[in-house]
Amino acid sequence: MVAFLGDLKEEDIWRIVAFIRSLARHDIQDIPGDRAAGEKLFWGKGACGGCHAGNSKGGRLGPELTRVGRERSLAFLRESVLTPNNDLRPEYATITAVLRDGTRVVGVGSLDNFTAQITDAAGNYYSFSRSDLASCVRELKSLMPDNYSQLLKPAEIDDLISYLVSLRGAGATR
Amino acid sequence: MKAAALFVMLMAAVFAASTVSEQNLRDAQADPANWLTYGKNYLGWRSSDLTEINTKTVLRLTPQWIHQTGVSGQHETSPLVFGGKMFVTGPSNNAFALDLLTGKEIWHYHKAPPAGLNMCCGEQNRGFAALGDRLFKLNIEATLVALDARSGAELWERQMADHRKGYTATGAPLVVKNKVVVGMAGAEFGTRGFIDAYDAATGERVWRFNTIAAKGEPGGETWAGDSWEHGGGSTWTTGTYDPELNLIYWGTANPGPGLDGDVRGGDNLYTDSLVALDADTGKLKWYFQFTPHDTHDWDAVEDPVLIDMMVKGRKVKAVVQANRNGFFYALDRTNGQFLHAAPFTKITWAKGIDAKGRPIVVPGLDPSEEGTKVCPGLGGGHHWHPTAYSPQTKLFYFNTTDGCEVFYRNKQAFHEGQWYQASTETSIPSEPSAGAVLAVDPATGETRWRFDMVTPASAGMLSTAGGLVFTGDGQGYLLALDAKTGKPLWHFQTGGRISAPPITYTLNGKQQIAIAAGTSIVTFALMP
Repeated sequence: MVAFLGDLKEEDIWRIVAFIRSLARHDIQDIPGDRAAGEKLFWGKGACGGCHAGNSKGGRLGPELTRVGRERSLAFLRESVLTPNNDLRPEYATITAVLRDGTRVVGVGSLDNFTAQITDAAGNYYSFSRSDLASCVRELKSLMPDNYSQLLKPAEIDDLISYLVSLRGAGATR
Repeated sequence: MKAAALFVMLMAAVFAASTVSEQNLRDAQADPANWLTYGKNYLGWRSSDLTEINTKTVLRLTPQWIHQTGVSGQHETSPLVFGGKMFVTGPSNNAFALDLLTGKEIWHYHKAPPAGLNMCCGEQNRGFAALGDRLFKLNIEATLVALDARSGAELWERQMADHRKGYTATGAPLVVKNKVVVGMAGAEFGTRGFIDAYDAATGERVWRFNTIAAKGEPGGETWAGDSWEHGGGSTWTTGTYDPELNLIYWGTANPGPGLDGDVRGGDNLYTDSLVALDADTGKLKWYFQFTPHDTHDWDAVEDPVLIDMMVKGRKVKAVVQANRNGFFYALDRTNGQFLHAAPFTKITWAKGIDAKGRPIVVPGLDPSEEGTKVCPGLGGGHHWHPTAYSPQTKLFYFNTTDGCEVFYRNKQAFHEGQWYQASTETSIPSEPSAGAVLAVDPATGETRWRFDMVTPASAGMLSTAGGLVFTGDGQGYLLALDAKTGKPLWHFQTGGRISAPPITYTLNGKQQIAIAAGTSIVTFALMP
């Protein structure tokens, strides 16, 4: 980072400090929903834990969520639950490999010019030479269902978000 | 008596092979056993006449040795090979002579860069030039050094410009006659670009061509007010040379500040241009500006490759370039006259190129405070990565990055030695860029084939008379494609990102391939 000492006036430095402080989170003071009910949904009806881990428990296919409440805004968490394809990181794009016998392997992983490494929803790991495959494509689409607004009631969504916000790292308190 | 004469002749041959004469450089294409200058020959072809590794044998290509430099940072070096040694440069003022048979280090040159160096894009270096028993390289703090090729001992070092003002240097020099011709980097710091020539023996500067036309000079009227003073126009790659015309061809980089064009009204000569300079005097013979008044950082430092070809029934001494702005260009290299251009990637900023070679710009696509999406992105359709031309297929090979970015602009005051780009760009997560290797007919600009790649371009090209094109990718693969069709024929995972061009040469009569991958140099030859 470039050193700004001498280039900025005192008042400008404080303006920058004020701006940075304004970026701090002020959106978690009044979260609707029940955290405990959300936790039950996470591991039960919502089946989120099949793909996401929190505090060393859960699946590994999706992003690790142990500190997600500290790192993400309320709006981002809600968007991620309801519309997971809106802001998908490339490493969570869906890779679909079709073997020459027609078998489809769908998951996430790594794709390069000659090989593909895929972990599917069951946690099975595959590594292919692309020349051995009938086809292999990567789509910027999440494996996560995009119909949670139908699967869960609005109050249940609030419960789930409340639980996600509470995930702030081992030993952390809100 | 006969035996003694034979011994003298043999020793002379060995001695000749251990040094590089001006004539050796002129005849470099006819010496496939060695790699004597950055672009293989003065014309920048990066093409070898070797045929042992070919479309039928390439599947037997296997690693021979790996030399780990122990230096962190991106290795972009294009090695030189002569006298049974390989000479490579590394980042942060490191360089090595390696045994050609084993990869063992013969010597290691290192000079610690100054602390607190301000630079654009890392401390990488792209290679040596050679003349006699001397090697020449740029150091990151904008110095040129001459080394004894036998020992790596420093013979002289010259400061080209003040690194505290943002001047740095990363390219491979070009030896022309008895001069070492070099460029500089640092347009992102409001420097004034130049191309220099130094006496190879003494290190004294012979001439300088300033790439930014000052007020009162021809071209100075293309800069509003005093904006030329911080005009940029770096020259951070390596040019080419036509011995017959005695002209040096060198590309220039973006104007400064890169993304705010409002403070530098006009075409901003000679940024984003190809300049043709008299090799003896450095005087400008002609120029061609690809992107007048650039606001997207689209340098024109990509290889200017010299090809004699038929264009519309007329034999032309041409210079071609795959430009960062997304268009392939062909010019008459005797006078800079525009011949033709063709897009090779998705382009939104221009509707095309007019009859004189000027882009027909789509209005409203300058960077803005809220962000403006433009294709190609800041890295361009083709970046600095070395290109190749095959005299066998008569095709021009280069890599591309296909994608778009969002460009931002703000107001920024100039402070000497500080970053001066007046904002930045971001990628678009929902539209990840991809890459490809293209084969273009330089006589028409028509794309003959493309090999699509998962990730954006990262490496340079090598073409061989064995019907192959070698290149690398950002995920560590060295790959060989059929030069006629683009079909992948062979690949090897080197274990490190490839950001350099491959080269080829012979060892004990057998063809070898070498490439910098990750922080290593890897060589290959055919299994028996």
